[in-house]
Amino acid sequence: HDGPSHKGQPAQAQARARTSPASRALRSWRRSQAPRVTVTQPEKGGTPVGDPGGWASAGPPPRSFTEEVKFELRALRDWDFKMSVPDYMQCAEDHQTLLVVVQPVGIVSEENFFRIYKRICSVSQISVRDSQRVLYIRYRHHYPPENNEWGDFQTHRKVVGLITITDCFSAKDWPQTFEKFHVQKEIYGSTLYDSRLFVFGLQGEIAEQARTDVAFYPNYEDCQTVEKRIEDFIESLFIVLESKRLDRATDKSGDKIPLLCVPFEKKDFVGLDTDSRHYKKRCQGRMRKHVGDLCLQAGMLQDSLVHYHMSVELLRSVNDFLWLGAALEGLCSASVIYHYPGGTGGKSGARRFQGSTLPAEAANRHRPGAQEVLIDPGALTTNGINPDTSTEIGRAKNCLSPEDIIDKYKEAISYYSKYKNAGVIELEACIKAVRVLAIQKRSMEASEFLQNAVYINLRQLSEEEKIQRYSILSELYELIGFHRKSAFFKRVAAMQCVAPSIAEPGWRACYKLLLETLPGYSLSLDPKDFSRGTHRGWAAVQMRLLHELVYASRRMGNPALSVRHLSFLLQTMLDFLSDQEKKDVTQSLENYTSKCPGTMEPIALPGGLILPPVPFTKLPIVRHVKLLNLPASLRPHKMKSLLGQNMSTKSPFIYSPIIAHNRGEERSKKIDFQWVQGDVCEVQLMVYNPMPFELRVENMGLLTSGVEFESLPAALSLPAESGLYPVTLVGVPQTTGTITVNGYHTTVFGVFSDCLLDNLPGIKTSGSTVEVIPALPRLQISTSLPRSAHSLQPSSGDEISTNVSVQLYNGESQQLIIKLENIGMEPLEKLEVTSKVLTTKEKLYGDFLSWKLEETLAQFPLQPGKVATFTINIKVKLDFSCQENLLQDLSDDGISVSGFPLSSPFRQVVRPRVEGKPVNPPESSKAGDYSHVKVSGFAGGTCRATSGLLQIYLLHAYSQFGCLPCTFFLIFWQLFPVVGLEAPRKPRQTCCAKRVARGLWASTSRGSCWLSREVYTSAPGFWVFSTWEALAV
Amino acid sequence: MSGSFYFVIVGHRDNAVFEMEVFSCCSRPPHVTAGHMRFIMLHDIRQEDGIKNFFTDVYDLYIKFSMNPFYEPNSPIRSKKVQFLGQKHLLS
Repeated sequence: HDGPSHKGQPAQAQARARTSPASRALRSWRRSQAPRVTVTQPEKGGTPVGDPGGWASAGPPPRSFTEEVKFELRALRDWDFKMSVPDYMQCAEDHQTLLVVVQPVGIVSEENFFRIYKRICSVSQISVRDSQRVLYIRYRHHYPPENNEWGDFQTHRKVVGLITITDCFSAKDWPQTFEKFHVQKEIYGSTLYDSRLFVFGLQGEIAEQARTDVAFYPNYEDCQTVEKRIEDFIESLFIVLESKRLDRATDKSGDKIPLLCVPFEKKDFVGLDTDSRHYKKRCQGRMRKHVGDLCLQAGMLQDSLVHYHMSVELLRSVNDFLWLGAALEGLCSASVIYHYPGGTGGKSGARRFQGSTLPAEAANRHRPGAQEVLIDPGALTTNGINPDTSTEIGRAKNCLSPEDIIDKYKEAISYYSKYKNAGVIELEACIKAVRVLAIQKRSMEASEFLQNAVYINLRQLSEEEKIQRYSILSELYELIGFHRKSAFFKRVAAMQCVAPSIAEPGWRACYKLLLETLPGYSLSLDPKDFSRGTHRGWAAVQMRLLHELVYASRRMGNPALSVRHLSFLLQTMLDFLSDQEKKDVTQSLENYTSKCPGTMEPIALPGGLILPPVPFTKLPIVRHVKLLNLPASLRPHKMKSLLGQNMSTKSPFIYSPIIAHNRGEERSKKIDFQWVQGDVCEVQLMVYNPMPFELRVENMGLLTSGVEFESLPAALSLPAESGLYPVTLVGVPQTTGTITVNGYHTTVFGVFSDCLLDNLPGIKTSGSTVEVIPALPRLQISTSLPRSAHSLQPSSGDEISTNVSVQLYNGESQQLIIKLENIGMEPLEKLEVTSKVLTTKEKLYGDFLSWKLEETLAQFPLQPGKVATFTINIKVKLDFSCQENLLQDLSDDGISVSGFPLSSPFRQVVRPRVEGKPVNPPESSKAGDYSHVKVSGFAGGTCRATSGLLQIYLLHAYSQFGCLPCTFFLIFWQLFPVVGLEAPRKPRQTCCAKRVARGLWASTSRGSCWLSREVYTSAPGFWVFSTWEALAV
Repeated sequence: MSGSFYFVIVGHRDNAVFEMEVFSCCSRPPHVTAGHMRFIMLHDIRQEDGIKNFFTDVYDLYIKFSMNPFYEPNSPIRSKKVQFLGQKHLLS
């Protein structure tokens, strides 16, 4: 893995680099399989293959010029003899098929040709006449003639039938067309049993003549008899096959058995002693094997098994390894066909049984009980077309067990591997064995075979063939359940599509193949799969793959895809990226998005795959989401009466566990405050930036549902690897109802993301649903009095919008003018004012404040932008008589140098006209020392309250004490029995109190002490009070 | 005697829990713990005893680690000790 550079090529290099150890291991496996023998066939390094760990050791390079020419000539010849095009789809059952090539002659449109080809292909198996033997046909529309040369070696490679399809519209073209048909026949001429010509378009007398080898059809629609003709054709093939089989099988005289050869052997047998025993045995063995092949094709499975067994024995004795391999493979194929009637080829197998239902077909096969007799089948089936009687005899003995099949395959492959020119045969045998093992569910062994197939070097393959080869390998690995290995080869195939040697790189194909590798590397393109639990799979490989996807999609000219993949990489692999990689990835992402911004739209790919959007939930990471209440002055209040009603409808009980439970559930989502239509509402997020550089988040706003909501996006810039950072997102609800904050949207690096809270892992939220109530008016208040120097915060947390103070002497009065301005959009309809003394001893003060609401109300309803005034009279008149604790309390509540703080809250309430209810008592008396509360309400029964604080400083006439007439003391003395002792001082004693009074001890006759706490004076002309408390001494 | 070793602990979700490249390959059959964690070693020289001892010691270490209540199974591990064990058993 070498960083996030978008290189498409290295995969192939990797694949090659790994060849050596595995090939070494494989060779050792082969050594163990094959007995050490000297190979009679000369080994040639003729083909220009550059495999470092090749199978056969090439001879020393030729030196002299003549030798070199000879070498090259021979190489050239070998080239011709060598079967070079492997059929990767081969499976063991193909050994029992007859190969028929269907080809067009002249100009036939592809559509028409394949229409007919499809119909021909539907006739893939035929029950021969009355017998139980079944003939299988394999159709090809293309077959390299050099592969046909190997027909003697394995008869299923031999083209035995040719069907040509041609257009011919006039009679005068006919001779020419017929000539072409003959030319076509010549190509496979040596092996053909029979051939047919289908002529379309020709009418008239030529078309009327009844010929067996030519069928005339007026057009491509009107050709119902095609299938019938094909069946006849196959039967004619069968007759030839059967006759050949019988001919060869009965040829037991042994005097002149021809030697069957593969193409590259022919020259080696020139001038060999044909009379030697060794040679005769070889001829016999090869012929037996050939007959076995024919039997298999002719549907005589058991016969073929017997022939193969004999052939194996014969060939083994003469060390004819190539043919021994073939005989063994034949044995395997026949056994596989016997054991797995369903076929091993997967899809192709299914296709084979199209038309006829498989179970019925399987039932037709007669499988009687075992009779373990090994007999020579030649004697049995000499006369005519008999049913395959051999099925009933010798079955168990001749047929290989499933385990043996694999052993024999191994052996066969190890023999093939001795011959460089048999590479294709070896490769196909490997593939067949893998398919068998896949059915047997023996994956590990299958992988050994596949590994072998991987390192079989054919000639220099073209790029297209390489792609095909890797794709097939990938499919086979998938078949045996090696998903990652399958993905690896698919990826190699993808890289092959864009290899530098290809003039026009197929980025589209590369991309498609890369997408198919994703499941193998446990990578899905849905970011949701990554949100839960630990990471799955190998991140380094996955990142590599994603980089390749990005690159491929860019080269495909689809920047939207690149952006999507790159965002996905950044979002899901963030934990695994190094700091430098993070920088690189974001850099390239920004480059891409400058041309094509990332969206939240799913991208549909041509293959039907849909790429879901990738929201950047980790850029920044959101840890906490909290919906904020409105500021106090804008907060809606419920009318008490309504509140009471609500409570009563809920439950008659003060406490009920059931209701508590229900409410608990509700509360989990719903928050108990309200937002107001038209007012700015806030949501606070705690975010942090995981990137090692400053993260710029643009266009961050809220995603909501339920209510029309105008989100006011914010832009923020988070420092590198910041800690938790509060961000407030705001918006204005435009309608009423219940609003749910679903998430937020951002633009990071040019990618739009909609992050839903539900999908965020580890997020803390205190509910996300809030009720939005209809718009309420807003009121601003200002007063004629100066602002207070030091503000006192009321204890209970209500916010105070204005805070003014006034100093008054006892008995003085003053007017406080309050300006009420409607700064909202709604008319203010009603006003209600209440006042409240903050201290608990409210009753002591009497009416400090008085007002006349009528004058103000006359100005109502107050339209937006209008101002109304409201006057309050303040009259301070404290009566200290008979109020023992008053002074004490006053001093406890707050002390200033010059006098007593005095608190008296009151509130103003605007009430809806419709309600017509009496003035609200100051139930929400949490207000400040002096609060005026204005509440504007609507039918919903909610209103707004504003409170202000008025501090009234009550001034003494004298600011200094010390000149109190002693007569007061005398009076005092008379009032109380006082002992002239100093009382212990209370810490909070004030200076003025100190001067005035002393603590007094009073003792009763019973011996208890009376402690005087403090004696205060408040103003001249007032009495001095003392407070007494009993102390137990 | 020194070769190249690559050691990895593979978790239950096919994720690499611990990776270590001891020094610059054929693979050895993996050592599977009772909890089905897989210890896999790729190496290019034959050193059966060293690898066996290394596996035993790393297994020991892993067991101790996994008993830590704060360790969540399958989450990545960082350890310098394994490096040390590698030096000890594989390179010596």
